[in-house]
Amino acid sequence: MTSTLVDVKDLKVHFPIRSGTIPRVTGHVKAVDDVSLDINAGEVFGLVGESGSGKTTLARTILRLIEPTSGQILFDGVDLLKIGKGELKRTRKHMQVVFQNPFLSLNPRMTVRNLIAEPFKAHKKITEEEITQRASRLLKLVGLSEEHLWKYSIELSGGQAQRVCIARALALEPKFVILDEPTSSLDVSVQAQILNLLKELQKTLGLTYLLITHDLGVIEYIADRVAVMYLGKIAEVGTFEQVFGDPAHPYTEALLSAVPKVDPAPTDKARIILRGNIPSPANPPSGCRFHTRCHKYIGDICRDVEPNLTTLSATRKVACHLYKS
Amino acid sequence: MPTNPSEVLLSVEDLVVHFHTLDGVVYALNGVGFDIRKGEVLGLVGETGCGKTATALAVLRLLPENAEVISGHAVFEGRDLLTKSTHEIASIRGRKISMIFQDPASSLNPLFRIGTQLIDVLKEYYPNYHEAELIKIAQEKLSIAELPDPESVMRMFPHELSGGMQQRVIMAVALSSSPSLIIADEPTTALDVTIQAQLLALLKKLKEALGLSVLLITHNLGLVRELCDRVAIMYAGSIVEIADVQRIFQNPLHPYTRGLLSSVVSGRLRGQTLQHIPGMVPSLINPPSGCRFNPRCPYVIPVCKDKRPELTEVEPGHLVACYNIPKEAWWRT
Repeated sequence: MTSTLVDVKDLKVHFPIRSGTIPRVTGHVKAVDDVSLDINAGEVFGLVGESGSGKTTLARTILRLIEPTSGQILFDGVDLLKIGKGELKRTRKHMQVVFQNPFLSLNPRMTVRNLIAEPFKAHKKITEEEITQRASRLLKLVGLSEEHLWKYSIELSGGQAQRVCIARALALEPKFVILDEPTSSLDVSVQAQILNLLKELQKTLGLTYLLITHDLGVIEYIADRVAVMYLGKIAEVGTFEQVFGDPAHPYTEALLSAVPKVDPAPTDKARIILRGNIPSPANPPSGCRFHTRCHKYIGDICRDVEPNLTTLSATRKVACHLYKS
Repeated sequence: MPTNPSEVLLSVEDLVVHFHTLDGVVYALNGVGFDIRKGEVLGLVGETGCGKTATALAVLRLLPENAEVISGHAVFEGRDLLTKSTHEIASIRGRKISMIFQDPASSLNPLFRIGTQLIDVLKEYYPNYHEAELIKIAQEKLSIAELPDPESVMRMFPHELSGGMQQRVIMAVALSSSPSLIIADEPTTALDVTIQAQLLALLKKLKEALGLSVLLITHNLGLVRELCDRVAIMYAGSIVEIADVQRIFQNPLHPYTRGLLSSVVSGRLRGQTLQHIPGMVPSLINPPSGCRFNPRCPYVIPVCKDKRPELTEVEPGHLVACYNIPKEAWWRT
């Protein structure tokens, strides 16, 4: 049976905009606006969206690196927003993150061994010798060898550096790993290696991933369920077969058709080219946030009424007026 | 080559470029050669550091000071760009060959309005025109690049435009001299997919309407399949394979091309382990001898380590630089 590991309810993250000579709050960037989603234990949950859609803010808020404006985040049944510092620290052991640019996540003045030692030092009382042993075991797990222990990040290639980041994230044997664009800064052939590694680790260690990316190929390859975000809101959630096979939301449809494919299928539909630009999340359009660019605009209701996430089937929800009742 | 020479717009031959750095000499380009025909889009594809951009910069004579062109020719409309004087090259660069860079924001000056920057460029190409006429031409160019409301765009500063709009302005600038060749270096990489789709449609339309030739530098193979007529695959400073776009994707022959294509992630490979090329891209300060791909190549034979393979025509229009072309058929279409 599947159980929910991460349960996000009605999460809002609004950043105040201050302006003027005497700074005053003149508005809010609604980076994440009323987002609910649940991630099951052992699955790869893909989060897709263009820049500024709030993917990364959502992920950082789940880790409580950003304080939300309102909402609830349950991790393994524990409400992360209600617990104190000590308990948060203990809970955080189980949730780790890998960011896009490995060189920015690795301190250039520390050796790989010391980088991997950091989580142990923060959370466990073990000897230096044991740390070295564990670090070299972790390096082997991610396909590097002991010789990399004493290197600095500048001596590593992009792929190797990302492997070190993955090793560090796995140091405390977490249940949940957030992967924020883990392969976007890598070349294709290296990207394939890292994806193979991530997939294998997930299987052998029984990890749960929240995979954030704008690369739809990666999501389609690895994700079990997918959520599509647009301007701080979830447009659509479903299994990967549902979302990729038969996108319900017009935005998903346009997004999927916009990607130039290496292996186009004869069943691929003609490309939908959206009008205009992505609006600013500081001043999102009224009603449905997508209505200014939508190719399936059905009338005033889109402009005036904000659509709620409607349940289409047990595994599928969509926020669009095309699917009323 | 079987091409009718009159069709060839730019012909790059045996280009060798070294960079002098503190760490030593970087053997960046190792005999690069290709042709661009009139009205075609040639894709130049390869991974980071393989010399795609260096090739473009060498052709336009924009290489940094630590670069040295050891040998080679870049014949454009019958004249070699590499032996021209600085003055002569200035009359070609920007006028007959324009370049579009990856990051539109860094190609525009943040301190000046779009109109000012555009008119500055136009003054060069239309020296005898009045300001009012130039404004009109500038607006025309902006509307060719499908920018809505060119009049107000002219009054804006670059930061007031989104990335997609900035790139359209860059395209307007690039087109303002009616060039015959555009070198586009990762023109859509910095943009979101839905915006990328808009620009691709525009680029295709302009290419058809104006009969442009385009050298498209990219690592995005999806983009190549969609936009290019022919493709040149580059690895560690050499071109390893050139063919029509259909042929490259259906019957790639060079082991590197095969490796590159099979490592592209797509939903169709779900459940399978992704293939990848073993090893790493070599350092160009100390490149492998012979074929630079030999340490990673599954088809390596002794001669690969001794002598660099030349691009040879294996079927009409399909050139491969390999001593031991894989015999088995390609599995992924």
